[in-house]
Amino acid sequence: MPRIADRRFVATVAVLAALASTAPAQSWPDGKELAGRLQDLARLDRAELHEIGRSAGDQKLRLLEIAPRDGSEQGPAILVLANTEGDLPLASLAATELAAEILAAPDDDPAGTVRWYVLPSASPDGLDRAFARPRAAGGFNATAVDEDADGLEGEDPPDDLDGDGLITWMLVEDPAGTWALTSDGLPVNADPARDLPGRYRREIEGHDDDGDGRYNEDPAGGVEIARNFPHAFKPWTDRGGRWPGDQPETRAILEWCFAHPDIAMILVLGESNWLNTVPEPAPDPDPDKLVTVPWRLARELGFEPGAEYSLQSVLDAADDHGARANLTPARVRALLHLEPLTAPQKGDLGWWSALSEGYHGFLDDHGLADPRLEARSPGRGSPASWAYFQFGVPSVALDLWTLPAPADSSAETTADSTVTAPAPDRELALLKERTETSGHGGWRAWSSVTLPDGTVAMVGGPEPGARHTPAAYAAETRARALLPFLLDLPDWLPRLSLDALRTEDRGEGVVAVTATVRNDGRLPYPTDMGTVNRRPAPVTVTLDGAEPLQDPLRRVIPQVPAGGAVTLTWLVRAQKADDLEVTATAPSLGTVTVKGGQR
Amino acid sequence: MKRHVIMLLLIAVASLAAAADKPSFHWDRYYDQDAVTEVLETIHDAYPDLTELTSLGKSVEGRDIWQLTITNEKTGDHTTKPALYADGAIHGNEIQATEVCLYTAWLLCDRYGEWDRVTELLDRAAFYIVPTVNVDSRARYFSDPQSHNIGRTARMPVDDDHDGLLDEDAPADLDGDGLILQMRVRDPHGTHRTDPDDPRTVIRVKPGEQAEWTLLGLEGVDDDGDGQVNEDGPGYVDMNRSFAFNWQPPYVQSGSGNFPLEPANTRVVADFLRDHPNIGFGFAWHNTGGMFLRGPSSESSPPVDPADVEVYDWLGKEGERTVPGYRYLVAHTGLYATYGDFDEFCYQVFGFLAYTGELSMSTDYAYRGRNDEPSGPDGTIWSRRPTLSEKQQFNDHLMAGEMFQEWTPFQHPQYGEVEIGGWKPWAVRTNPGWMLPDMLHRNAMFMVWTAMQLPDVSVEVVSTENLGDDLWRVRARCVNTAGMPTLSANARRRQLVRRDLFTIEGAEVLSGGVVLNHWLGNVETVANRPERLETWTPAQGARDVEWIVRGDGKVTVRYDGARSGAVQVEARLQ
Repeated sequence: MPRIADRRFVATVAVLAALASTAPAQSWPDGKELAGRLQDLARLDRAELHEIGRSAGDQKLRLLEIAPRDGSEQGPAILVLANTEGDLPLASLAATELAAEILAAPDDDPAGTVRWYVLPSASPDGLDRAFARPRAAGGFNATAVDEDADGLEGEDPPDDLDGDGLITWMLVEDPAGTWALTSDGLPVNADPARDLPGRYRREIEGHDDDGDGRYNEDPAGGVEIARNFPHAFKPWTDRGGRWPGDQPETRAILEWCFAHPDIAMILVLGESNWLNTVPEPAPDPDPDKLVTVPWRLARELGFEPGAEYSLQSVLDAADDHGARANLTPARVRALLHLEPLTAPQKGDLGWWSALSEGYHGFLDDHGLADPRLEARSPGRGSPASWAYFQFGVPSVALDLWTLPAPADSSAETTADSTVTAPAPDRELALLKERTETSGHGGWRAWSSVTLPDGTVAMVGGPEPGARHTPAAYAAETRARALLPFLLDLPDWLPRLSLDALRTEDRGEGVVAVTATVRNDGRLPYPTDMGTVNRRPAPVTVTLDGAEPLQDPLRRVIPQVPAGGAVTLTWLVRAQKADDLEVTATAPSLGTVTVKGGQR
Repeated sequence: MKRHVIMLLLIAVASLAAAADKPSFHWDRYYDQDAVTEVLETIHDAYPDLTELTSLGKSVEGRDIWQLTITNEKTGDHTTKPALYADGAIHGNEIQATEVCLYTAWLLCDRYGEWDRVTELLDRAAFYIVPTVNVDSRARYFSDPQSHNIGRTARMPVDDDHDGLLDEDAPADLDGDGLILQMRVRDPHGTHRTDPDDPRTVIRVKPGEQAEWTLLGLEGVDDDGDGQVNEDGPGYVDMNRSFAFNWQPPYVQSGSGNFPLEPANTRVVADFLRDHPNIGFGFAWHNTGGMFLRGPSSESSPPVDPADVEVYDWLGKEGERTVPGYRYLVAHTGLYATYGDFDEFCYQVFGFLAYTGELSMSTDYAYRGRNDEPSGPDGTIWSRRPTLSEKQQFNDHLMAGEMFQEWTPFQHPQYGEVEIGGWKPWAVRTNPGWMLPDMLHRNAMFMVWTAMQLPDVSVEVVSTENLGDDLWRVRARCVNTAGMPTLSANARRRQLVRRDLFTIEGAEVLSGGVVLNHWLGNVETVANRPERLETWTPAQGARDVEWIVRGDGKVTVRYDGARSGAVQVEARLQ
């Protein structure tokens, strides 16, 4: 009996074969076509299309909600955020196809056991840019940006000098330049010591439209939504936004997420990957580290302001005061300026590693483990890092295509059959080689142009987006083949259940009641990071039908381990055991109830 | 004296003064939010040529967030003038912040045409005033049972105790007197005893002393049966921790909300600041402490540029003199670290300087003779704070005891017999009305004086020198007579607003640049677009430029700064 994923893979291939006549193989679907497909899907049972906001360019942000097969209104739910980078039509297509697969999945498929929220195009303005003529790199939205702070916006955009419909590189002849061309036509940083003197200045293809001496320094503006989320936001960049969440697309996503506490996992389909390589955990703080306690905290803990104490002694003191002052260790570390966290909690590495192993196993099993350049990890301001570090749920970041590395690559090969990212010139070399040997495209041969001032320049090099978006026919199959792995993600989610109540008669109506709350999933609830930032809401357990003698009837469980259980006991006065009822609930997991018990 | 600060009847407020059509207001009382709206409308109606009243948007609970623009529109649209932004009461319980904004608005309008400097100021500059940011909580300060400790934050339910419930255990007015005060229970094993200097006051026991009381916190019961009292009251999203620079999640910065600028109130403020690049300085009014705070707000914040520190220091020291007793401090070293607050957002995102002004001081309640030493402890910023017994003397001698509610027995459903009493809410973070006028005027005038330091530029053509035929050397100068540069160092360095433009039209420009030394004639020429020089002008200084042009007629020289406005002059090449 093959695993469900295997059975579905077979089914998917069959579905693909059936869709072959309708699925465009030679070009990526644009925003309009994707919107049409979403509207088609929204007509199916269990599907509902939402407009969760508008882009900076006033385009709809379309989110498809797919209800679980059992019609339950309860969590958990998975949110799929695709193409926050904007110029990744492959990611938008994959999300749309994922939605189609969820709706088409067999009744016994895990995909139908949860609610899905699918946002295939998180930056519709950016997606439009991927289809613009001429096409330039970057999937930015339509927000105006005065990059050079000269009071004008978009006054010096790139220009398609060679008329090929693409904005590529431009190497302007300049004796003071720092770039050179190898004999093979590869641009490299000049290295006079290796007989590569600087000969060119590297620019983006175009004129100096505003005559300020700079080329293309103020294009049509735009912000990349993938850099606009609040975790580790990088200020003062041209493309990240003025502040975290200032873009309407980002704000709409944030508001949707916090309005839907049933979201228990976020899948980010884009350019980054957090499954190839599990990130390093945050190092344990040195308990002997001497810290100066700020006066306000010192006053609260009875310490001497300005004096140094060991970190552990401060944490211990805060623990003593915790109930009164809500001084969690994370909060204390924050007050000591040792936060925020930028590396995962050590306790989360277990499930993270298992998920990564599952991913690599899937690649191996389905012939998808061919060597490729490793995708980058989610960066500052990315939705994936925000999902884990601030929204507090498991964040699955997955890229769908990177450049294939040659089988005889001299680059270092890692255990997971990918190769380490090369220096830019190696990536360029791969693109150039791939174009010249396989005809897949991605590299433009250099052509000479003369600029208005008589300067000679070479135009060519990497095509915009070539390192993440190849020709449609070259990547679509791989992306589709990854879908079964995504359809199995619900199997990982925490699932809440209650054992039968156990009661023990202590005489005179006094009963000891024991309830065991189980998490039948493969992820803890919440994650360790979730316990630090206190999101999502914890599991609460309520005993009804009894008068408490000691512990409150409503209790909070900070964390239920993956595949584990937490047992609670109450000493109560109850008339009948049959009247007892225990309810366990969490917004992300739903509610379960167990009644009665053997007295 | 009950509900001393709650003056709901605006009828007593907006009496028209004898001076024709000039409204006057009583500034010795606090206005609730309906009255605030009426004051604003009254000012706007009385001065339609000076003011523009707009709602920035709706609050979390649907109230209007009013914004008043003040300038002489006949001398130019407000967006073309340097501007000062001021808001108040982003913490809804810090109510007198609104009064400072209202008083400033009234003062400016009332004295326009009477006080020459105010008239000149409104002719050349603009004020943007948002009297109340947290309109919901400030409104509830007046309408709900009153507590100094409730109403700081946005009215957005938050699970403070992380038990899956929202705002389920709030303080409550148990004895129905309209106040939420303190509870204490007699307890020989407790932590406090009666102050021998004043039987109304309890003080912490020292080793060897016999305790009498355990303090139970604010009035309230354990509503949710979790064994805690008042642990999850209304809110808590602290809007002055939600601004979007160095914002940190709640596990780092308590009350910061789910994401930056989550409350509608702060989002509309941020959008307003973004949409008004002419704002050159900001104030956000709070209480308490008597402080003018600036960034950095935390150790992890970027430093303030030294050139901007000079401006901050100069203004701040003037503020200390204008409002005696107030201190100018760097927030995180002088007070405590915060993340996501207003003044750092202004400085780091928009590049204009801003203060957080903390109104009222504990020393307002000092009861001391000329040679009496402060009674408070040393070593902290609270060192000048009077002891509670000293404050009681103030209460007895200046307020006839009305500031304090005597302890009264109450049968608590969970604690049994307790006592309820303590300082009335308005006597903790605010001042009695009779203390207001001086405080309002001094702080308002510090804002007005600061606004006078906004860039004040003029431009002149210093010389036109014929170099033969139609060739001319044109020298022009922008002079800034005010105390602030046209652009802060941070704005220039990080390109947070466009640079000022020094331009010439009417002749063919062959070359041009900024004059580095006008005595020696050194010019830093630019290679491109010499007719459009990008620059700035220092405080109380000048910026000279020079062009080599070909022409024979009239030229127009213009200096156009986002934060200084535009000025131009014409000259003839002859």
